[in-house]
Amino acid sequence: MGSFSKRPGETLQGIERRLAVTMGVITLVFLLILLYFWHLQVLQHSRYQKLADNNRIRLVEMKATRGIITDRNGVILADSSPEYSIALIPEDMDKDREGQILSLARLLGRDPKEAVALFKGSSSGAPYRAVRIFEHLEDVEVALFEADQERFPGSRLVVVPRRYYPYGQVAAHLLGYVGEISRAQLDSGRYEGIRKGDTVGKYALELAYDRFLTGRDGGRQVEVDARGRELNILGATEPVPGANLTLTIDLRLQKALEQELSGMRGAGVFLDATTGEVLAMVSTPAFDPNEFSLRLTDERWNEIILDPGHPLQSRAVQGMYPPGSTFKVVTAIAALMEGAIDPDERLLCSGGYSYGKRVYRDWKPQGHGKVDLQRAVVESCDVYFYQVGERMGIDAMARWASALGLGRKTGIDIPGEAVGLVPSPDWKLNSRGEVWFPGETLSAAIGQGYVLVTPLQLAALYATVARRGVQMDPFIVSRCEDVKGQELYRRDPAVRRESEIGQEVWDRIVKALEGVVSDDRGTGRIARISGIPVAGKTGTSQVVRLQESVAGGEGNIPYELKDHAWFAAFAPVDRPRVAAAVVVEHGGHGSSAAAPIVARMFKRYAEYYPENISGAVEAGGAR
Amino acid sequence: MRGLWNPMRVDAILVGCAVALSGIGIMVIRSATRGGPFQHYGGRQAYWLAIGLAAFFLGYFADRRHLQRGAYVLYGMMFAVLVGLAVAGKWSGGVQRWVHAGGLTFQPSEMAKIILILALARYFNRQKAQPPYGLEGIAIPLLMVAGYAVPVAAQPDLGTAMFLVLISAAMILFVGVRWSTILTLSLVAAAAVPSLFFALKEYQRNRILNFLSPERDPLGTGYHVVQSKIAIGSGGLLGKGFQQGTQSQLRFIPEQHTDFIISVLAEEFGFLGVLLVLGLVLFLSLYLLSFVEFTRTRFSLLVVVGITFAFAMQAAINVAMAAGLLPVVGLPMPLLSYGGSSLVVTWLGFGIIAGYKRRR
Repeated sequence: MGSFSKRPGETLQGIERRLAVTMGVITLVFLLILLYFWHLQVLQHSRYQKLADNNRIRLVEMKATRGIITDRNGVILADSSPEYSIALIPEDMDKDREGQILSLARLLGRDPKEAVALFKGSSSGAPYRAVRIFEHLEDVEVALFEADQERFPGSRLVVVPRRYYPYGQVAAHLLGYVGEISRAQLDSGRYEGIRKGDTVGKYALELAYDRFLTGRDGGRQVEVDARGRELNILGATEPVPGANLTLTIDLRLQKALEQELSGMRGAGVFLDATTGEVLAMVSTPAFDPNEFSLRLTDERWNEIILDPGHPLQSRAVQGMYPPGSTFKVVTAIAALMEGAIDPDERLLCSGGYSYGKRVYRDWKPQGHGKVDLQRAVVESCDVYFYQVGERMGIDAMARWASALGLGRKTGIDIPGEAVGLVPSPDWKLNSRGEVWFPGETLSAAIGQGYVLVTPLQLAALYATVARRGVQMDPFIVSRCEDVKGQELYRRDPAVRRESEIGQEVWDRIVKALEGVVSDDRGTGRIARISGIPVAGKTGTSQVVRLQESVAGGEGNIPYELKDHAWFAAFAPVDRPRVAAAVVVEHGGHGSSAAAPIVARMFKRYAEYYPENISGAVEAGGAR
Repeated sequence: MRGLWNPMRVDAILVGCAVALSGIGIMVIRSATRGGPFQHYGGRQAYWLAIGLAAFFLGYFADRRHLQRGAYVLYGMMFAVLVGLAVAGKWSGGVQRWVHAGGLTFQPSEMAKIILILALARYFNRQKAQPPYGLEGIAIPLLMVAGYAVPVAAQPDLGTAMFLVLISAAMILFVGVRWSTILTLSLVAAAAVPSLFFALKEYQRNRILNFLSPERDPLGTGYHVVQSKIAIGSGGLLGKGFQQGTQSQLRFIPEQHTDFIISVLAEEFGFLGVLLVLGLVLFLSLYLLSFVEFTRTRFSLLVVVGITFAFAMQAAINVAMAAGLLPVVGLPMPLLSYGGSSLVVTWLGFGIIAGYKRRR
């Protein structure tokens, strides 16, 4: 024991005292634990024995309902409806579980193989947990089951909320759909508390706002007797429903636009020009999200994804199209800002423009004669803009296109937005390894060639023109409130940026765009509405670069090669409230296919929001 | 025949108790995993026990001076491993506690317990200042603890991280700390708890909240504890018999071969089984402490005390969790729970302690 003295500063007594205290503490802790085990195992034995004997605890899940999605006026676009399923608790079933499932399937007239596979896949390891096995029961099946339930011990009817979209295809691309959580989603770790087989948002807003929409499942620990009858609730948590979303969409406009585009392939976007709120956004053909809430068969799924109309693609935000002449507004702004043209200067259009070894054609073979900026926009003269583009150069054009919001995402709150494309020599060299040909500048000046926009980008561009350079971020979800009415999320309109483009430029541009509709020679005159001054621009964008020779005989062109028809506009001109872009794939001319749609939609807007329009018209009239 | 000591003359009481506990562990693991997906785990644990015995002799014959000199190097190496695992865990987006090598998986945070004890012991061995220490005397040890606890918590393995803090705290207290310093640190800790609470992952927060009110999550963590208590309580005084536990055989208890092994034991062997195991653990702990008598330096003293603390505290915490006395954070029962890392490291620690007697 003498060794202790070698440790400096420590006495034998000090260490022994500390050791004794340590031993005492350890002993005390173990005695207390043993005392507690005595309490559990001896004093409370009979209580726990009973629980174990009855065996006694079942888990009954209570699924949370998903949050409701409404339009701006509170109309429900996505709801949850109760649905019945049959669940089995393996521990309470007959010995011959498979046989029991077979006869249950026979009773309901369902496929027994699928049910057995499902059961085996989800029942292992937890025989006390209910497995949902026959889902989406019809009323007849519920009745059949209830009449015969006695024959199937361990089975019970459970109510599960199912996503329901009362308007079917309406706004399908905005709302998206829900489905069973995928392996990849489970592995991502971003779905706290979600189990295999649970439903999550899969597409569009259902996906993007999933964490708000999904509630928290509840459940009960139920004590049951040997025959599976509930005796006691040991613990319960009420499910917490998901939070509700309010969209900026107006269902009436959405439905109207859907109607306008039905039977076509195309897209349309209507924005509140003052706020950036999306009033309507449609892509056709659409799909019925209700189909996805049920278990979609493989055949049906294949049918949908192989559909040549690509109904799952949201053309409004994902579709990239050459903007055609609707792009001329960008060319014009750029040229004016760069000082490349004098708006009053008149350039000759004789139906074509020779550049390099090629002749760049005008859409009007006989030409427009001598035109200034106003006439060139009103009549959509291509030759005028070829020359403007040539004078300004591609880099300046690209710079202004970017400044006006093209070539990048608008930031809309729907996943998967396409970027579009603002071409430049740098871009071409980097992405394609080719040099820029000067002639390509001429194509770009009239929105052809490599220029690509989404309908949403174009609508946002015209909203910016309407607001004379003030860019608003477009958005669809304005508010999210939980069931107690507490606001979890709120989106207020935000100015993204203000361009440095001068008022005199805007005066010219807006006047020209107004002329497109109001002038009797304007390409958009079909969009004229009495009482509402509309400004806009038609566009006809080539799908493929047609041979010059083919371009003449339009009647012979097959559908797939026909031009896309565009119309982008805003109204009322003097105090703009709504901006729009509509594209009809292979619709031919923008003037005939797209412009009337926009006009009719503006009329409806005026009907639904007369205060917004009349005030503007009066103000406009006073000027 | 002085000097010609018999290397096999190891301490029979120590080894006997540890073998008995390990054997009971294998038996209960077999029962707990019978017919399930892990039914070969009993055999695997026996194989791990063989490796554990080898680790025991490694510790037994290890040169104490080397242990002391190498403590900081080992500390640094383990620090690198733990940080690496925490970072790799971030990359793989999941939990990263194991190192895989040659078909074996090893959980380095188990080994970290012993290395941390060695490093702390080495630090206090050379201190010129005498205990009881103030804050400046224990600042470096606290940093050493944080160096392990933070990356382990980030793995995330909250249970082991907290446990590293606990054994270190116990060691530092044993060395001697001024009352004023203890008070200051307690106040700091109390103030830090709320902010730490919000730094936790959501599921970790939920576990603690679920402990405080089990009905919050009747299908999840709360359910485990309820089922575990039923298993324990229904075991009664004598138990339901080997492989006769209805709770465990029907797999009502999750993790029943690891964290909840005591529940299976309690169900099948009753209070007497629990008494036997906890009695053995208590006796072994006190017996291990008595090896202090054979130590000559403060380093050795603290190694013995630290390893014993680790063993006794981990056993106590594990059992308290299974009985619903503490939140369930996932700490294995030393010697009994399934798991090679824990078993081998426990045996290694015992070997180091037993080695002190060899030198006399």
